[in-house]
Amino acid sequence: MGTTAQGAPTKDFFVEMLTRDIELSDAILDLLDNCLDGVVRQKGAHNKHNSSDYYSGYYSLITIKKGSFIIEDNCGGIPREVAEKYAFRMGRSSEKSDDELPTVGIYGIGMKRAIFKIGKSAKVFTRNDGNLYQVTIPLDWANSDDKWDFPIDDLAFPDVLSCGGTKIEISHINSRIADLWGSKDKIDEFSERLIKSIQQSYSFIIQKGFKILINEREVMPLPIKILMDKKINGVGIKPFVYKQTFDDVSVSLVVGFYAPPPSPEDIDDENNLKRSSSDAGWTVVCNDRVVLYNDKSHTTGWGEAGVPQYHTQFVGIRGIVIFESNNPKNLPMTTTKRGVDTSSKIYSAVKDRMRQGLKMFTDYTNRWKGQNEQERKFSTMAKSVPVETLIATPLEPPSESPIKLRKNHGGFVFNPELPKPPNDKPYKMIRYSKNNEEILDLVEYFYKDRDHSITPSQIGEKCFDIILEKAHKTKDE
Amino acid sequence: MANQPFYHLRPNKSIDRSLFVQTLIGLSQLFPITDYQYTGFGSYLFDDFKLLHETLNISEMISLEKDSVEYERAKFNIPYNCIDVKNIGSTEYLSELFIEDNSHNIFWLDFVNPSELGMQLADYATLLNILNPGDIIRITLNANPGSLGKKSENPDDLQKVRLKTLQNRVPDIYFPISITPENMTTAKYPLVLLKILKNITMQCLIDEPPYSSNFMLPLFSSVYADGQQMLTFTGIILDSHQKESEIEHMLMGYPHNTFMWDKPCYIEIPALSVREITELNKLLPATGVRQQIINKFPFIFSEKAEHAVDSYISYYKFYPNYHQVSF
Repeated sequence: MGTTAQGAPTKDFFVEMLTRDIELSDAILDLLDNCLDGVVRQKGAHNKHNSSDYYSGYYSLITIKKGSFIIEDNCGGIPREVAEKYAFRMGRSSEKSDDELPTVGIYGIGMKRAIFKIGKSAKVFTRNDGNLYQVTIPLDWANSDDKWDFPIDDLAFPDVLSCGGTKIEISHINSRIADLWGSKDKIDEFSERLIKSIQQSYSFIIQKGFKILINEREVMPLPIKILMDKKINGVGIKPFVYKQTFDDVSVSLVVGFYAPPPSPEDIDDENNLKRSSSDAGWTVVCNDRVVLYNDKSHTTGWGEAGVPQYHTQFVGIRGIVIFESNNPKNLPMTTTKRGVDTSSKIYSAVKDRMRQGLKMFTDYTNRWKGQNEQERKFSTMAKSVPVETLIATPLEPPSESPIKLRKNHGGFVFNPELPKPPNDKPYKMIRYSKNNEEILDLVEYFYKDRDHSITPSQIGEKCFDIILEKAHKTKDE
Repeated sequence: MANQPFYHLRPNKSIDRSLFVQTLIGLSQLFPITDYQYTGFGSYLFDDFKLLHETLNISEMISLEKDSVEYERAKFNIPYNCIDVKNIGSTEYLSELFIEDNSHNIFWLDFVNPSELGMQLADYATLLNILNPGDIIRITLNANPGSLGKKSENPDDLQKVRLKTLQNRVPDIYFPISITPENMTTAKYPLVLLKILKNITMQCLIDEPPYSSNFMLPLFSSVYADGQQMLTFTGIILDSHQKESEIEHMLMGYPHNTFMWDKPCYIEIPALSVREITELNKLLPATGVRQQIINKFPFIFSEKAEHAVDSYISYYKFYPNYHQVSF
């Protein structure tokens, strides 16, 4: 009889492969995604798209201490059958489907990946349908390569997770992470960063009522606002809006200014790091989850097909694209949910529209360059509007709506009519730098006060105007 | 578009325009060309507008004129009532343009200024993004390598200097990787520009059904010089490959349509007197007449300027006649 060569994977290999490419904060976000998917499983897809408080009443509490990590939610728990057959397997089995629900989990690796990223052992308590049970990942699990299953124990503590939910306690924290959480100050610093990344990724979800607390600090949303002139017709600062449905994926897109185009001083400040442009760029959302935040690269159409590369002068431009589907596999996101899958055909089609919209605002910025004061007359008339209200624009808006969508290439589009500078005299920029003391000499010369509040470019302009007037006078004589 | 006198006296450009009309006539068997809207840069002479209205009865026409003085002049010179002159540059016009579904469009971005190549390519890309299947796009670019640099301290470096200029004008993502300084010659530079146009087109129109099924079928490109060497590319946007073969079949009788990005036709006919034209035309059409023409007209054609004799044999029918007229 012939012998065989071993082909089974080792657990060490599995754990190593699973955890090596994910950032710790992303692994924690995966755990939060499971909470949200729990909510969706409880409530169903009904009204998810248009409900403004879909997640209301649900929470997730994260407690990070030296030596342990705990996450607890009230999002319905893991159904027993799911726990037995799928939830703890390495990878999602093909028979498991999420019955057409708009969830973000697809690959069935989030919880295991997060647990093994953080520590070596864990207890998962979960109450589903009234029944509480515990799944244990024992410390010695990885020591043998033949037994892959985890023990399940029924528990009878009526007070634990009484509303239905899951609590994961991870211990035997991996050494690198134990270092990261080695003292109270270190944990504080880590939670700050974690809160920021949750704010970026979960803003929409938090705005729709979900509560997240990290070591008892509540994570507040970062709402996205876009400038809109509420005038019904005619020229004004308004966003470009686009909506389309591709089979079971619906897409909404808004791009515009969240701040007026910057003045030369603003650009200087930006370049000297006095101001940050992190709010500019594209944010991509898949089933409420932000998968790309304020991106300024080719991925979102910058520097492609007629659109200029991102540059500080475009610091006021912000766009958001929202993809929703009951079939999360069709959403253009990567497995880590921290990026778009650029090979998605839907994403390529939408990207054309992202570029089309973006181009309107880069062109607008270029067109008004050097005429900031005149431009501000228009941008100050526009008010900040939450992006959700723009996304919610009905396909056939009432006649008094400032945004009117028109059918186009299978979707609906609103092209704003943006203000144009008068065409008669073309403007050119003059820029030069001078010694600060010398500039102040001029400030003193003009205002008899070195501290007079005036920007260097205003001084420059004043000098130009004076000489120009002189030149015109000389010509007249 | 100022400082471009004698637009209408450029025989090679005139032939290129005629070839375009020939292509449109061929396409009109499949597409309702008469109903297309034409957008171009008519300047104040409107040669293309007149031709398209007179031969194909295209009657919805928009001419873009950025310069406000030229705009007044253009309005004064409008030849037909169906031309709407707009005082706006193409970049501004295209970024806000909304193209209705089911509308048909012909765009001719007839650019002149070589230093604005980057903007011109951006306009082309913007337009590709919004056009409908069946729409026809035409773009003219300055293809004279001298426009990238005429002098260099060391003449051996001239082509390197030109390549550097071109790299500064064209965004990296369109720039073909295989381009070397040796490509910066009069003969090869038009092919470089075609390669760049191809790259932009392939990036914008990705031919991925079902959501992004638009692609470009190149129809023809022409390289011509009445002074500065120019390049014009013409293509049609389609969303079905079945149409592609129908078009190729339909245009068989118009062989200047090569359907290839890298096979331009060369229109390089020298200025000819009426007498020369009459005598040359007596020999045409005929096959194998090339050598005879060179022998008979050694003062016009030569073996060295091969494109000159070949383009006359191909396009003699379209060679314009200019006469002095008194009003």
